Amino acid sequence: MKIDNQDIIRTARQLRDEENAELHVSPWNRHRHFHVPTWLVALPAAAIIGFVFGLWTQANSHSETPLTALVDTVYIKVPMPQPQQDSVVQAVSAALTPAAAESGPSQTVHRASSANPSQKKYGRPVADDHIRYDLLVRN
Amino acid sequence: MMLFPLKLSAQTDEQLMLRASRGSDHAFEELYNRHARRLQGFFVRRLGEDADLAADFMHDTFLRLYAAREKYHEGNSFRAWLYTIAYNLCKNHHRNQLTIVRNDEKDMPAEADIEVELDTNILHDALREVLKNLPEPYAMLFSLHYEEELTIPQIAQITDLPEGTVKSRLHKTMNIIKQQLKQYENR
Repeated sequence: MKIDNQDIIRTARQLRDEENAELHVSPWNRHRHFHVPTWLVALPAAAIIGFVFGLWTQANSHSETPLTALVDTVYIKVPMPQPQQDSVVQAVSAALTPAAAESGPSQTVHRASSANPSQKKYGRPVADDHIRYDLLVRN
Repeated sequence: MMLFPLKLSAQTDEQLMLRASRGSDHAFEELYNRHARRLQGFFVRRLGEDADLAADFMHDTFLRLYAAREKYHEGNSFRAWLYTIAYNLCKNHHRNQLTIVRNDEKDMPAEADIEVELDTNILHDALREVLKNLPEPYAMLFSLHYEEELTIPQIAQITDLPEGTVKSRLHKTMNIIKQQLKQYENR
């Protein structure tokens, strides 16, 4: 059979239809390139951002806090000479505790903190352990 | 404005594209349903029988069309626009191969009518083989004109070639096909 242009065109279209019929065409999806659900991306992303932010704030708090702020109180022990018995203190203590006054003058020293605040005090407050608590430094 | 708009299936491609350009996703989906298979087939033939790549290219073409849908102007041919995108995707894919093929144009047969005698059954298989081995610029024009049934002015617009060049190349394409079919005459 003699082949002309129309035969070729007709056969080409027949081939086209056969090939097209065998194709699997997926349905229209304008988000085809984004298969992963957004929440599946958003949740790990939020966790990572939170973790990084936590590290960052922790690192910043370290750098801003002075080292001394971690120590509540610094005690300094100052060696002091034996306290002198003050006559006024002796008189007051004798009036308050006559029994103790009889036992000896070394027993009459009182803690500065335990003295009556309304009562007038004289001299330096010295404790039994010879520590000057008035010199305690609070930082 | 119509009070009772026509069903999507009853509308032309251009009417649907106009609706899609105004925000109707249903109209665009109807266009996809109408043309996806045919366009995918076009890509299969133009990209060397790679079905997955053809499916990707087909979807990519529609994604580009969707992204640019607001630029559609009333009266423009939808198919010409669709195949312009498809043609450019193929052209980019074959850019290096086209350079090689262009140098072979001198070896193509002169413009003369070649007579071929073949049995119809043989023609079917022979043409399949011939079209597979057709040099790319000719295969593209053959595909656009004879398989996808686009007019010569539309092809000229798609390929950015003068209409006369398109016509002469199509004539040359037919001669190449016939010359190659002659090899099957005595089998």
